[in-house]
Amino acid sequence: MLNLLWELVRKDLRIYIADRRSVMISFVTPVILACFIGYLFQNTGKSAQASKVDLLVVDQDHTDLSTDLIARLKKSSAFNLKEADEATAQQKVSKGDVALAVVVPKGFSDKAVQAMTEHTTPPDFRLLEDPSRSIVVGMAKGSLIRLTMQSVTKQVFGSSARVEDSQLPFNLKDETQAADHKGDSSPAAHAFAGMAMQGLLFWAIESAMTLLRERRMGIWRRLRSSPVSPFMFLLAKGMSAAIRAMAILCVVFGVGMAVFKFHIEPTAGNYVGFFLVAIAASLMSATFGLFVAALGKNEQQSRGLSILAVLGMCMLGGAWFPISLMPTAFQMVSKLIPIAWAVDGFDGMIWRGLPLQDALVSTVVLIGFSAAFGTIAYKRIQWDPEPA
Amino acid sequence: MLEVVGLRKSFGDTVAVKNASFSVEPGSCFGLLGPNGAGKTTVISILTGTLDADGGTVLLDGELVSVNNPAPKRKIGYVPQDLALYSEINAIDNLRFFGSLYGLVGQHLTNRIESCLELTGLKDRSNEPVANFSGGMKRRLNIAAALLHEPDLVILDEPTVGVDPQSRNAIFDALEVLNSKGKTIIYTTHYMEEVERLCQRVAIMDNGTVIAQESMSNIKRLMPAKNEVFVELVNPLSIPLDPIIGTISHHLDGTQLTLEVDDLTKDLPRALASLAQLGLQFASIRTQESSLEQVFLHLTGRSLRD
Repeated sequence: MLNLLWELVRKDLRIYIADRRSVMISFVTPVILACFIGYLFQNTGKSAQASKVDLLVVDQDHTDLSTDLIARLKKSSAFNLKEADEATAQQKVSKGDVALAVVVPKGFSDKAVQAMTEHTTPPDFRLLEDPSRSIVVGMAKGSLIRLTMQSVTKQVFGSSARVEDSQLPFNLKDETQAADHKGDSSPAAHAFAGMAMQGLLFWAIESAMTLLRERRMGIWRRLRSSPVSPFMFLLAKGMSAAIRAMAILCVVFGVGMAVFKFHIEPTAGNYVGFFLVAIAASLMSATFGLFVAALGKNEQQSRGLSILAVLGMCMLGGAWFPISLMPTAFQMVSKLIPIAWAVDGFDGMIWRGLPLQDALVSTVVLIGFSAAFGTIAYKRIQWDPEPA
Repeated sequence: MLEVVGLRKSFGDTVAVKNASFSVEPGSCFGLLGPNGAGKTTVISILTGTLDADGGTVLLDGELVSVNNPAPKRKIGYVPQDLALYSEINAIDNLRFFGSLYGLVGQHLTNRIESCLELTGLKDRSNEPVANFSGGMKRRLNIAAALLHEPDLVILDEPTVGVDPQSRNAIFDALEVLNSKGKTIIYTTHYMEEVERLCQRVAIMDNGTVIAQESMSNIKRLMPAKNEVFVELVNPLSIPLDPIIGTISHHLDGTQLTLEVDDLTKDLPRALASLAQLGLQFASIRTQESSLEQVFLHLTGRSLRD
């Protein structure tokens, strides 16, 4: 029995290896996509923190307060400040040349001081924003409000108030909750998990197309004339596909770890957890291929529908961007998507450094999906030849 | 060896096989003839256990052949009409795979692979990917894959479609060797000459029904008792001929005179004598026995390749 199973699996592996170009594509495509997206995410995060935000200021107040504010903005490490008139500021923000402009209206100083001392209605502090750069604008607003408060406080209490940057009554201490304690590699690790899963599912579609092609060529009919059961054929197909998927995962994560320097937390639990998730994800992708083949009538129809399904699963499953960025309803839906569990499991074992139990949950859910896909494939697959 | 009784099979509203019954003796070569759509491939699918019949039974050495019964499948070698091969891998790996389906392992499998490659004349190309093979070579490998487990019954579904004459001869030689070793063969084809060369018995199918099954010598007797005689005249006739004594009918085309007679021994001398009395000189005379193609046409009303 085992010898037969091995021969069936070996034949599939030989066919896979025989097509060198296909092998290269199955490994290289997810690596390239993961490298690109990992690089993009990693550097977007760094540049947003490190680089200064271009800011235009329109001083219509011309008071000591507004002059002090401009001086503080110029001194700040958060901004590249330029002064402009309102029309120019509006035009540059509209064109996207700068993300943010601030208008200090005439009478701002007096009204702001009164609002602080006599609790009158505070003046408007107009911000002209580029809606396409909301993350940068959000970060800039924080610094802008803090510096404006310092200027207003100085105006109210005089220079004796000592409200310089270094004299805030508290310190903000960043503590990144990632295994590397910096979180530098987490965007890349997440991208590799997502792109690896996307690669596996697209490759599973190709496996399904191969199965349908074999049926069209009459190979299934020939196999069924042998004394081997259909279950054994499907089991072997699933196993060979899972072995190939596991190899792809190992290569993709291996390249990711070498290039982007992320790593599995060096505890036995995390290594075990990572490989459990990898095995379960491989099984899931393998049985997904059988599922597509079982439901497909022909190659053309199945390819179109399954590509649509995989793209949807990648999008909702957090393969392209973290699930936390999606609306709440979509986050709920993602619980039904196997990719989400796989990516979550990999994230947990790599950059989040979570305990083994976290990986076990993902593993069990992925094996559940595998069992469902495999059972449906076994029940629905059309073995019978077409009418002569 | 094989008993087929009252097979029926439908696909939706389409009745593929209405009532097929025939038997195949051990060690014989049995031809299954029929035009496209006659139901041959459906019958073959049922015989090989890839499809279950709606009604009727197939017994191989007393065992019921069905999709879920592996035991009789071990005795059958099936050569499908399609090339059921993996073109990416070489001939040996293909045969290793198909051999493993029947439980062959180790040295025994290796020996069987060598033997089958030799029988089909593919030994010197055994390490090449099948994708590099000609159509004829693929057909031969398709046959080799069915012979690995030394089946008692070999079923071939149109194994020579698209095959060059050299490969066709190699296939015939291989089948004749098998048959001489006592293997039972069921052979379907469009080519009458193949059946006439290989088979001892033949069944003719049309519209899902077996309409005749006879030995090769008997099947031609199913034709009405008449023979054609072709007479080549030295000079063409300028006037039409009256009915000729001893003939059923005649047809004149230039110098070619075709006579239809009931009995060659009694009627042909009378006919030739009456023609000689008319002063006609004969350049040549030849007769022709009814062919299987004519029998088929007579029984089904259409050509085998329709």
